[in-house]
Amino acid sequence: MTSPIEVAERRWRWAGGALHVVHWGEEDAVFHEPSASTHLLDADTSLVVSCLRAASNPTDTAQLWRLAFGDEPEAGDCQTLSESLEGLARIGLVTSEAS
Amino acid sequence: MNVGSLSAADLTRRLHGDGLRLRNGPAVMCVRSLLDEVRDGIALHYAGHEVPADDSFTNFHISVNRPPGLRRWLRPQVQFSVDGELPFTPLPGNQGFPLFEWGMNWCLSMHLHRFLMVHAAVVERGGHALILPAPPGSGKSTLCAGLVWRGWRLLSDELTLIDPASGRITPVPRPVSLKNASIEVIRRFAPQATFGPVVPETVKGSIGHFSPPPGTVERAQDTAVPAWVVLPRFVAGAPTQLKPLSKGRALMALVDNSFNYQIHGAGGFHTMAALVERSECFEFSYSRLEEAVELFAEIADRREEERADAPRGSSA
Repeated sequence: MTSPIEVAERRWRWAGGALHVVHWGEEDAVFHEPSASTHLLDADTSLVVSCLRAASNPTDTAQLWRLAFGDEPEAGDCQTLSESLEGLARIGLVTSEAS
Repeated sequence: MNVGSLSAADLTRRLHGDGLRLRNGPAVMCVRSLLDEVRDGIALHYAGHEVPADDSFTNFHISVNRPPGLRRWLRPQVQFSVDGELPFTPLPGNQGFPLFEWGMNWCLSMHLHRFLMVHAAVVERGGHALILPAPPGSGKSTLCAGLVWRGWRLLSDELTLIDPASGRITPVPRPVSLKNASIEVIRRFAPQATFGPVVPETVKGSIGHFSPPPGTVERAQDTAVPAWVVLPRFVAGAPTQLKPLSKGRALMALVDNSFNYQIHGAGGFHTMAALVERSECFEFSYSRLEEAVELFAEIADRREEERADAPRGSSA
């Protein structure tokens, strides 16, 4: 499990490449060209991905929360977001690095 | 000319000689076999299929025969070859016709890449296609068999061919393969179905094929518009239940069951997405075939009524 300190210290970056997106209500189907992979994302995760794609620099978890949801992360929010981002990293849509 | 118009002697001569040209949907096979059960299976199940001219383009040259050597006589086997290659290990000697069918499925699913191909049964009514993607053992072929004997047209019990350019489904009407208890279920459900011999103890259990219902092969050029994506599941004793399925999950099911999605890249994604966008999507569980078939008749009738009620110029 990732500790809160680790969450704070990681920064996230879009993996790069074209992403094709089809919106269906609360879920988005996406096709990532470089990995030729298809995924189903819920609306929140898709929003986070779009923020990372728009960001020009690696973004830490708390800042990413602010960009995506427009408010300050509360207790546990960064942990939850970090777990989602780890899932995105596993499927090759994002990368992470130490701050 | 079709297979049924050939005399038994002519069919045998072609299979033993330069090969029988046989149209299977968009592909032409050249089939050679010395085996009586393959000849008899073709005569029974492919009577309505076109026999193209000998000089027509042939996609696959296939043969089903005994391997050379002692295994011709000692515990005989059968082997399948395509264009001189042997993609499978030989099977016991009584499995010539199932091997012929499996081999043709393999040829089509491994090579017809101008289509986006999904491992799914597909049937049509009123020009609308019902796509049933599912892994083996889900009751897909049994449901498909029930539907094609109650007013739906068989496009394929195994292979859904999606044309990326038009989004339409191209038929590949062939004998329908059933396993184990499903054979008897369909014999009772559709006594008019023409079954060939049941082959026991294959890797899939007992296998039986019935011929495409009348009128199916004759309409092999009539494509259909996708209208429903349904994930079927046979559950012994379960009530008939149809539940809405999100479009995203329907798309993922089609992707998971596709033979060649990865080859089509982003184009394949958009083809699948467009198919799902225009389709109603459901999960379906059943145990009673008669009820299942009635439910799909209602769904198709509703679609027809909606189309009839739609303002002129709009498409349902």
